[in-house]
Amino acid sequence: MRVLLLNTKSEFLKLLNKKKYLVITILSALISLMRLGGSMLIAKVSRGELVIKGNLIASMLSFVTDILVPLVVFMAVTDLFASEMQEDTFKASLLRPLTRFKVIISKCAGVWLLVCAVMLAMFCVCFIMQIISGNGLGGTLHMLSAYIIDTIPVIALIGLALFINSVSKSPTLAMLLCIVVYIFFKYLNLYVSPYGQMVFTAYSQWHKIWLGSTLPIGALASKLGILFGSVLILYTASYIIIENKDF
Amino acid sequence: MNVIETKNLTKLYKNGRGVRNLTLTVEKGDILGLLGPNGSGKTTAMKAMLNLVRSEGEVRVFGLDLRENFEQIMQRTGALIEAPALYKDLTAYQNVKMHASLYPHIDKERIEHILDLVHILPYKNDKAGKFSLGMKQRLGLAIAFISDPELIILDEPVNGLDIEGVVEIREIIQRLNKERGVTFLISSHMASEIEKTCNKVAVIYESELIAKSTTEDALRLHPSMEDYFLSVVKEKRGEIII
Repeated sequence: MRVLLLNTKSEFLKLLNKKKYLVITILSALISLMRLGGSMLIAKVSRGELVIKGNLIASMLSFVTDILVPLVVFMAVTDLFASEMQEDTFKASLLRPLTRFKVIISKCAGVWLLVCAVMLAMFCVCFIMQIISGNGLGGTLHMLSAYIIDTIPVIALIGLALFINSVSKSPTLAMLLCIVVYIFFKYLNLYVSPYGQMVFTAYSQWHKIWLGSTLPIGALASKLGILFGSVLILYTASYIIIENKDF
Repeated sequence: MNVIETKNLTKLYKNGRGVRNLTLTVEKGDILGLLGPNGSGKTTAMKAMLNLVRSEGEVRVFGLDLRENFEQIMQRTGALIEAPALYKDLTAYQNVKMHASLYPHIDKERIEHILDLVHILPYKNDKAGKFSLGMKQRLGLAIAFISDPELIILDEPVNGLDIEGVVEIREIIQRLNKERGVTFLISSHMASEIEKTCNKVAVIYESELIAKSTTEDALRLHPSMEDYFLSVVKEKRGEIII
């Protein structure tokens, strides 16, 4: 367990060392700033007749979970798997006192930590803007819980990216496939009913199930089953593929 | 005591290359050189001994089955296989630290000592991606040495090094072997390098182990390691040796 945690830390630090994740977080923060600026401008132009009220933290959450987080996950998983396999640095991880299973788990945990860090940063940015805009702090704790809960379905998304990376021969192909498959899944979620709801990407905003309106136990269990079933299938398949690979 | 023991180790790729039925032992304190031409199966054999490729047959390291006790074995083993696996975005120091992070006893002084040993301490804050082939090789060796292992597996360790570098690395290997009893398994296609560095030699040719000897015995009957190699290869081919 100790080596697993130590390796997770080093994989996380490896990702933090790449400036692109900082850049993408800053760009996302700018988007939230533009959204706030836009609504303030509309209010000014319409002399207060059109005031877009609402919680900035909540409104940015959809953007974070459906666009920012998937992008970060796909980039980070591709960096740690397909890119490392192509550059032959994956071998460095395999020459350490860690089984392949632990190497895979620690890399995925590193990606998940990065996502948590990005989500935390976005929450803080939105929180500060919320204060500056004078919209009050109502529902902030509720939104913090939502941000925390929404880190759970990211585990399945990492599994999807891991699976694609384990079968792809190049990082470019892996990244492309991740995006295409994700868009396809999202299309299924939105336009193919009811089967589209059986794809785990339908639950990227996991907090909607657990916070506020309470769903019946049966519905909750089926959604939990879909998510954890997807996690199990994607991680097991990826592990089998990587375990049998030659490096 | 056998540090490495393989029985009928086989790993053949789709193109027919690899290693076939390799039965080999490396004893404690040995510096065993795997000698063979390019593509003869040296690297594949080493990869199989480090579980980097899926193989058939038995591999025991420190008396333990490799596949079942991989973590325990790698705690005591250092390796450099093919080109050094370096993170080009990280500095030389960070590369070594990344590898060392799993070993609790390695501190900053130890990392700097190892970087100094392979003569890249002045460049410790330079990114590995900007290093020359020789410097990358030195950094790869630093990573192999950092955990103070009992067994070090080096695939073509002097690849890309200048003459001075070759001599330095040879001296480090022999010093670690003499002073700390470190066992080495080294591959090379250069017979002269094996002759100068190793106390035992095993010849791999066309995926098979065709001869094993002490360097002393090999040189007793042949003027050089090169002649020894040519002699065993000709014998294997069934050619008449004059």
